[in-house]
Amino acid sequence: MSEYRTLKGRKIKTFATDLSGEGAEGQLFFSTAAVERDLKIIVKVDSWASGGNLNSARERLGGSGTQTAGLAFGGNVGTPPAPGLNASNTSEEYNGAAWTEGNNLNTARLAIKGAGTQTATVAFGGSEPATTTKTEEYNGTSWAEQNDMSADRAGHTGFGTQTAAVATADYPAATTEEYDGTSWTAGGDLGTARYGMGAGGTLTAGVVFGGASPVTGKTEEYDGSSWTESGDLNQNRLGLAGSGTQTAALAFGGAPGPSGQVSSERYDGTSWAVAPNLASRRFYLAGCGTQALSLAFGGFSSPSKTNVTEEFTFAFLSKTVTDS
Amino acid sequence: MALFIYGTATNTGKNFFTHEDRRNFFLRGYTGHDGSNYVSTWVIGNNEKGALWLAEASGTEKTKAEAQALVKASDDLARTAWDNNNVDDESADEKVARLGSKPGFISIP
Repeated sequence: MSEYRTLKGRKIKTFATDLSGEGAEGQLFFSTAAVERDLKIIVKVDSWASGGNLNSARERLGGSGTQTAGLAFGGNVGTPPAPGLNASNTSEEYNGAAWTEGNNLNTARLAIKGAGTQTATVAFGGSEPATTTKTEEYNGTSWAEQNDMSADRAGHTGFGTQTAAVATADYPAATTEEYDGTSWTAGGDLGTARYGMGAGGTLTAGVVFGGASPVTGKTEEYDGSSWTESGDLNQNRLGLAGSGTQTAALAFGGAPGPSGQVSSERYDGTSWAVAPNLASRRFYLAGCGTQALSLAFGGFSSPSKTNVTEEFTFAFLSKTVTDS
Repeated sequence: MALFIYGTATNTGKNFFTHEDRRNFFLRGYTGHDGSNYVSTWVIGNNEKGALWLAEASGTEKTKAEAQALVKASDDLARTAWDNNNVDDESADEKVARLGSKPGFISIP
């Protein structure tokens, strides 16, 4: 049997701590990090994998949190096209493997948006089906009504945290509002009024992308007072979801197309680049997490809403080499 | 050799397809209808690992024509639902504004 050193001209090194990072991709090494010495290799993961299905299939739902601590709330559980509208008040928590039903929103609505974490989310606007200004906060256990936005919004998007959130415009308006954990005040107007955008980031470093009408790939960045146009998405779309930050965002899904899109794109603060596709196409889905660890859930794929969840991971991981 | 194999399999959630699966073969899902129920219809890269995934997912292999027929049946239902969804005195433009454009047909690769 040939030895590795004979074949490659060098020995396999042994490390007490596993190698990591992009520079280690493809490196074969012995790891003594565990009790037994393992042969490991660093592999790049850059794909969407299936996650636990939502208990309640829905579209135009709200989402917040992270890939391992996500929150889904509201949405349409009716069967589109309209008037198959049936606004939901349910919320579900994700633990990285499965969704568990939590306490309900006080007001059922679809096209609801939110910002924050699984234990500190603010949800705002939507359609009851009448468009609403209502705002609620979630503390990880229950939802409580808060001060309303000044304008009703249902085609908006949102980003930030529970104590520093932004609600964007609802086409044809370009106005935005900022939430400080207590009340809403006027923010800077978007450069291009639209609905159905994706978003990411914080109140002082936010980004929105896509939307309509007409369907666009326009991207704008927010600094807490005004919006600046940036590089467009490669694919124009609306009803997409987003995650991440102003300098590291991920856009995924969306329309046009009766069943939506599977494509994803990565943003680096300047321009968008193609990222791996979702397995299941859809639009009016929700998303959360970071650019490297995102969660896509729910949405609409003709002819109906879906409960499918997918997890995006970009990482360089050590994998134990086996002979199977 | 054909680029893809086709099949139906119920998405059971976590680990139904993994990152390793996505690296090993092409995978894309479509909504189909078998005359009674909606069925998840999959286009899968035609290699050993893709075929094994469908088997381990307790899936049923289909020909391309069978898979396309399932997807078309689903599209037909969506188009019929769109046709039958009407409001008195509504113009064609108003209907499109209310429901969106009439769903089209999806061609699987």
